[in-house]
Amino acid sequence: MTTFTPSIYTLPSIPLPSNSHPTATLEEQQETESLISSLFGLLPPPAQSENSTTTLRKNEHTQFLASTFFKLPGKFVSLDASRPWLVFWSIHSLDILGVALDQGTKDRIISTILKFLSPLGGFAGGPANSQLPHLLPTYASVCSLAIAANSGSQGGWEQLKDARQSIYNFFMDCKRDDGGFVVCKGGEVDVRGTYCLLVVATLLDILTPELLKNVDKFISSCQTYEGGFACSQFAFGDPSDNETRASMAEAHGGYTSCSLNSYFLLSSLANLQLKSLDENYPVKIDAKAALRWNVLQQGESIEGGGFRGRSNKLVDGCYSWWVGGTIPVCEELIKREKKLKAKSQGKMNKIELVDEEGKEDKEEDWVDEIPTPPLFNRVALQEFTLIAAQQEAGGSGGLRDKPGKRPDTYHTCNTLSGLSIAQHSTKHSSNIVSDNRKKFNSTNGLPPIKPISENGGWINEEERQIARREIWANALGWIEDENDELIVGGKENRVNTTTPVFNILGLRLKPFINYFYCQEE
Amino acid sequence: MSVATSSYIPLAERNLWHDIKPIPQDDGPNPVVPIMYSEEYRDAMDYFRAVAAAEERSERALELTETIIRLNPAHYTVWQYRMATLLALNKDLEEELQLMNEFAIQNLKSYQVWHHRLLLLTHISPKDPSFEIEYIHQSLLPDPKNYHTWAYLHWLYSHFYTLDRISNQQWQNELKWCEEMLRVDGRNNSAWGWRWYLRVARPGTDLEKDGLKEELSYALKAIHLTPHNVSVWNYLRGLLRHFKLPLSPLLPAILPYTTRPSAKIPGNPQDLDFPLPSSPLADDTPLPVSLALEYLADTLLEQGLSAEAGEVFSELSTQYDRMRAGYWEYKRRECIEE
Repeated sequence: MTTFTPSIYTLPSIPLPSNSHPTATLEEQQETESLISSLFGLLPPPAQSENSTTTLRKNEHTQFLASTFFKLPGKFVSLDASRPWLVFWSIHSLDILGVALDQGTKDRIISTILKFLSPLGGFAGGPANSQLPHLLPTYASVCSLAIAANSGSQGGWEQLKDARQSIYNFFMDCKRDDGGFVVCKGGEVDVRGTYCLLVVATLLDILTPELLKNVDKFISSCQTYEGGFACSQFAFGDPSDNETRASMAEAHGGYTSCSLNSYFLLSSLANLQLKSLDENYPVKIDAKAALRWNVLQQGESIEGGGFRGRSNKLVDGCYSWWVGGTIPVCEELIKREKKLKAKSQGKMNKIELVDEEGKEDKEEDWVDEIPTPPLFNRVALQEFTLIAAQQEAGGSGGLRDKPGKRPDTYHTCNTLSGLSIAQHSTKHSSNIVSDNRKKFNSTNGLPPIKPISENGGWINEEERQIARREIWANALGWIEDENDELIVGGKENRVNTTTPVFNILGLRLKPFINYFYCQEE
Repeated sequence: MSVATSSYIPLAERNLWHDIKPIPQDDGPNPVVPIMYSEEYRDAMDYFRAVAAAEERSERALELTETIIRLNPAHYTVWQYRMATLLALNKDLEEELQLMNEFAIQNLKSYQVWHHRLLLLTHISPKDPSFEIEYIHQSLLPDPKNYHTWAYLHWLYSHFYTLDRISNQQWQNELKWCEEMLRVDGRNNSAWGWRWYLRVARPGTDLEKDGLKEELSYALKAIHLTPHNVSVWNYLRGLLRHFKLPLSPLLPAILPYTTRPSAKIPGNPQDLDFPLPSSPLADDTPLPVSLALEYLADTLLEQGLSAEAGEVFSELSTQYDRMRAGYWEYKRRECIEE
């Protein structure tokens, strides 16, 4: 196993060569290399032993999260418009650490989050009598409800169910012709907004063709020459045109994650020949180039094997999730590309064979069976987390960007989410998706969303049901290969399994999405 | 930045606000993640809620939004209200732009500050945006990789290009400025991204017709200057993929970094008129360069030599780039499949 995931402690510690040409970037890189490698030099490799300097200090991190959950000092005012995020980062971190919340705390979370629900539709960054709804807090609020709320009356899910149409209307208010979304009234347009919107629309069963229109074009034109994705794009001409669009900055881990996760959700409706969607929906991206870019962001052993967020920038714990967490998604998108290619080649035969009933059900099982080596160094990322990203033992707890930086809730959540991805081998399984399809009961569902424009909805009920089925079946298609679990530093370090794309635990995702699609289990 | 102190005079005690009944934040009982606001922030927000509920567009509302933004520059609702009020009152937006310059200097950098700036420029819509371009250039000097600033620069050129307000001279100057950024730090990936926009992505440039070869040479020269610089490798590969060019013609310029004798590479053209590496190579240039090996492997694949390509990937996996051992192994297996 470790053939493909060598430990930092077994790799030579080689600085980025200067090529006798020092620049500011090289200097910063060297500082970080010495900071991290000296820490690795001081600490032994994480092992089963009771060495508190290298174990995952779950208690300390729990304390750290608890210390700001019920009261934050005034200096946190800069996060006053991100309070749903404070909730999400904290309770998702606790979920990953396996810390259960008591019902009293859950009730407080539910009532707090529901105060953020705007009568205009969508959630605000704080109480709705103070702030406008915004796409990002909407994701954080909905995921927080998935984690802490329930289906009982006053349990949060019911209120969310009643808000579906208003949330949808808010989403349509945010929509622009070029396929982008403003994050709030008068706000900026970038792929964070797209991602947050698509996750919520997927979970609440409120996707429509008018909402999806041109979103694929927007996302695909954020892909840069490097393979990663930029924050946004600019459409110079007609929005239906894909050629005159340009990405609006360099590739970046956060935006790459948002883009590829969005594309995963969009491409669950690929290849179905739905008349409700554009003929070439979704326009292609280069998934192989995206994988290469993500993989190249993993730092060298001298910088502890953490991920950086852009080429030639410094490693940072938060990219454990943004970049590491996107690698399983890249793997799936490449599989989808291959499948599509295989299908289009096999299609000729299918026409000749005429109408072969039941053939559709026989999914290409081979896709699941090709063994792939781990696509990034799962051991090194765990070592980075344990050695470099944890606040020093006996301190405040929490996880951080890198040594010397203060821990915060955001870094704690994203570092732990990445740790979960490194420990567990999660794959999107076409067998599971097939089974889900068979299980899907299309007679059950919440009231269909009323589109804003006259022809904005699904062209007919049949297509609406196909779309619902595919979205639901694919969202629940992530599975963990338990034989491929890989935990550095002993079983005590094990954390729970988060779901790629959504970043909530699988055991949270399933009941929540089933509630909104009215599916059993 | 001001902080609440005991000398703070509550708005209720100020004549200007006597007619307003403040509205408290509706958090409900026992909220989680409550913030212990300063007196000044809480007070300002209580009045902001009242002002916003009445949709009051006034000077005092503007002042209030400024107070809040200075305390919390990420308050998107207040930014939105401020912009709408500026427009409703027909305020001098150039003055607002000056204020934003001050904000940027105070390092109050956030999504909202930059977006507010973008809206201001859209509304001011100057005939010649060069003053703004100059301002952005200046602000990149101390912070040459600020993502917001670079994204804004992309927008600035794109937006004013569609209004036909970017002269040819301006484009040329920009390219020179970008080259200077790259000369100062050729590892600045943001600057490479900007070059891509200027040379390839923006409309009105036709690299294929004039200067594609020159661009490839530019990238190769940069590789020869810093062969371990991933930014240039990505730029070069990006060019080749974008213009659907074969990798093999450039291979002779890259082979020295692979430590492989060129004779072993079949179909290697000898008469190359692309820049070659310096001989000897600069100090501190350990070989082989893994990105050069990747280039070699992809060239071999392109020539249908998948077994040979697989060997190179295997070397990357087992010897030269062990951090990515799994990925190179994946690439190796792909060679066998195909």
